[in-house]
Amino acid sequence: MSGAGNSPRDGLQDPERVSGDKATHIKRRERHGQRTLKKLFKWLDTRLPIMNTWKRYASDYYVPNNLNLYYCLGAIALVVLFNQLLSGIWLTMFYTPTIAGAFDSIEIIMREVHFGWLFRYLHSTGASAFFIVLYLHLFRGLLYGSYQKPREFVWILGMLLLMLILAEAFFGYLLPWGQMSYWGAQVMTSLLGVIPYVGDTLVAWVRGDYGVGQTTLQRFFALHVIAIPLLILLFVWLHIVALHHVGSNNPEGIDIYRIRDKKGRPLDGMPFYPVYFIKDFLAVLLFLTLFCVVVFFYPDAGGLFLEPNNFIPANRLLTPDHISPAWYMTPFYAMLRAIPHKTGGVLVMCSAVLLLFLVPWLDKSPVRSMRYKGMYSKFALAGLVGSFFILGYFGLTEMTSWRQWGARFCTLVYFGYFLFMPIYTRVERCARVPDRIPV
Amino acid sequence: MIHTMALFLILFFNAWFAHSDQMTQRRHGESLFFDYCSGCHTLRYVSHSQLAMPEVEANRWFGKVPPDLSLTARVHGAQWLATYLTGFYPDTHQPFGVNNRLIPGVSMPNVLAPLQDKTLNALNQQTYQQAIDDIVIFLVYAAEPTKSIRYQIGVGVIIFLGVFFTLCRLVFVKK
Amino acid sequence: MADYTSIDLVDQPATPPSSSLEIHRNRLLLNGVRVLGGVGALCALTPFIASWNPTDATKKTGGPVQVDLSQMQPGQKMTVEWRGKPIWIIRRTPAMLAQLEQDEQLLRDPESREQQQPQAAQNHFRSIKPEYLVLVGLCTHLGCSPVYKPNGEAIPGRFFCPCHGSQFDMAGRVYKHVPAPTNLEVPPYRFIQEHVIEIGAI
Repeated sequence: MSGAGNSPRDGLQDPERVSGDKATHIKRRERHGQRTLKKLFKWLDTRLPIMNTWKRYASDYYVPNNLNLYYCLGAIALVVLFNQLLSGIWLTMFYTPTIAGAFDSIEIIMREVHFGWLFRYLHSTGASAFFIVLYLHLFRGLLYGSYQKPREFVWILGMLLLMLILAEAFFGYLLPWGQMSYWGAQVMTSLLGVIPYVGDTLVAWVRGDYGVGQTTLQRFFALHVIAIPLLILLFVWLHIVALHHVGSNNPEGIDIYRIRDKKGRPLDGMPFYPVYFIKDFLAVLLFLTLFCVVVFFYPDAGGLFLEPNNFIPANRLLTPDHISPAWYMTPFYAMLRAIPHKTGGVLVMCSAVLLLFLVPWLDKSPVRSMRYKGMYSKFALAGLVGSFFILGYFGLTEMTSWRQWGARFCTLVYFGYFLFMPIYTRVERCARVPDRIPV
Repeated sequence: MIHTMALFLILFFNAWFAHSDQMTQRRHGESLFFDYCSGCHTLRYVSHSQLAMPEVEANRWFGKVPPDLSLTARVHGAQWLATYLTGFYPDTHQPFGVNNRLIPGVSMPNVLAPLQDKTLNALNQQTYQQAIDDIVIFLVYAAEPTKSIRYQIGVGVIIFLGVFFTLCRLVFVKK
Repeated sequence: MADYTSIDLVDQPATPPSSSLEIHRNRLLLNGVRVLGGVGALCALTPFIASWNPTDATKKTGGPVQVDLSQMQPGQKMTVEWRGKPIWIIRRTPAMLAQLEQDEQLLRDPESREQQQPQAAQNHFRSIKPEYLVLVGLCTHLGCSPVYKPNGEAIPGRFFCPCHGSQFDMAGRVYKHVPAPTNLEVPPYRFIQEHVIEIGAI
């Protein structure tokens, strides 16, 4: 009835409205306003696929009905990305990308810019929060076999995103121009020198100078502020599109899209909106609470999120006693240090990350989720997680003989998860996976 | 899940209550700093005082430039600073006759010694320790002057988020 | 059946497909959520907007500037910078001062009725001491800096703006029929010594 014809009286049904009462006049204005909004929306929707997208991604996107808290991590990661973008843009308004001015500009942000300290802590805590969320998000994938067919490409895109975000963190860490910033960049860029023949040229090419200097700082600034964020946004979009194209996995690893009702809706599924929207919203609120506790009360996180040595301006002639990368890179750093050979160490470190790309093809198991896999897979995953944590601890601390042997053992366990996977996933005894999600 | 939440809430309240307003101690520490330390140490990010001796002279006297102390409390921490300042002991092998337990072979003389010198009718042990603490409190403040604002806003933010979360949970989730 | 490992975090039992959530259960709570959400959003917006305000340090760079006039020759113009603007100080000759009263009908605002000067300069000479004229050296049309022509044709001295042709007399008063609408601005200043002025302190 409403909006059907051209007469202003269209949509008006009750004789009550003719009375001229103030309340009904207000109601008429409200309804008129709503009709105008509807008209505006319709104008837009014929020109942009708003309703279509809403249906495909929210109201008619069917999702398994047994998703747990792990499945909120994607939404939380988006929130953290948004936080980094916003706080980062504001920091860029006050930061000076020169070796003479960088450190000072950050102290000015901390002390003189109104709420500057807040943007700084949001950004530094956000970086660490990003990796906590991402590692948990990745772990969920390993746990429930989300990388298996037909989601291999979702996994690949996710791994590429992890590499992009690691690179983003690496470039960003040089910008404060503290002792850790400088020496961390110096060490990591020199790793490229292991490549035979072209190594040294490559190192000078990346730095733009003999050592890390003004040229390096400025180009890392450009990469960190513009180039990589644009790539991250592109890949996040692709990652979500790829996921929605094949549908979501679930903790049981059961394919809900095989059994549907007469209208084509999966029997064990439910629309994303409103249930999972609310779930994600509440999970994000919970995350924000914990996040803010850290931002406002423990931004240094005991020296893990903001390292003490980075409050000393970079001194190119004096290395601090103890350099280690940020905590989220320490497991890989520990592997690097575990191998006494320079090239070997770099190869091991790189393959530790690259092997993750291959998991969809290493996993020969007939079932997806750890809930139905055998004991070998469970032990292997526990070993992976345990060794990752222990390696992280080794990477943070000084190397001793005991620790180096410990790191070697953990590296073997870590690699064992991947290299033996084709074997143990094939020979182990798995449970039978039901067709329907158990109640 | 609930345990993680509880842990974070405990940490939050711990940080909030532990941080009391230490203004008088800070002011005392500030005056002590300008009496004893600012002759050699700059405080670049806090004040643009020109009191510290020029670098050339410092190099001549000490063999190195006394470091700026604006951020030293963030680099070393309050505990380390207090231990350092009370860690001087006599050592005839050193150019200034003192050595330090935390930094062996340190180039810095024990500038706070006059505070303890009995012939100068100075402070007793308790007030001497107080003076050291006050200097450290001042340096902690100098390293992050906005800390108290951060705590105050933080309390408001956490309370708001807690209330908002509870409200949303009540409204949007069917029991 | 499936053996749940201890690595799994929160486990929720599989819920039967639910249709929709009742979100209009309690109007008060719902409105409370909306209001709180709005308040939260506004508070979250505050740091972003507030951070654009000038910092205290920046405001200090706009502090007062002191100028020593003792070495100035009659007819000489000095330029100093205050808050990023050129400030002119001209030591006017007696001839220049005498000329001020004549040709007032050529001026747009000879009485300086427009508030382009502080109270102390609200007089015939548009300055505290007649001998020293202090002006903000920016044309009131579109902000170019005019040229000082002490030996103008027939008239002893005026300011000429090359951008669009505006002209001002030796008290910075704007002529008629030129693009500029008002007299040149006189900044706040005072004499702290016989020959030393401080610009901007008041």
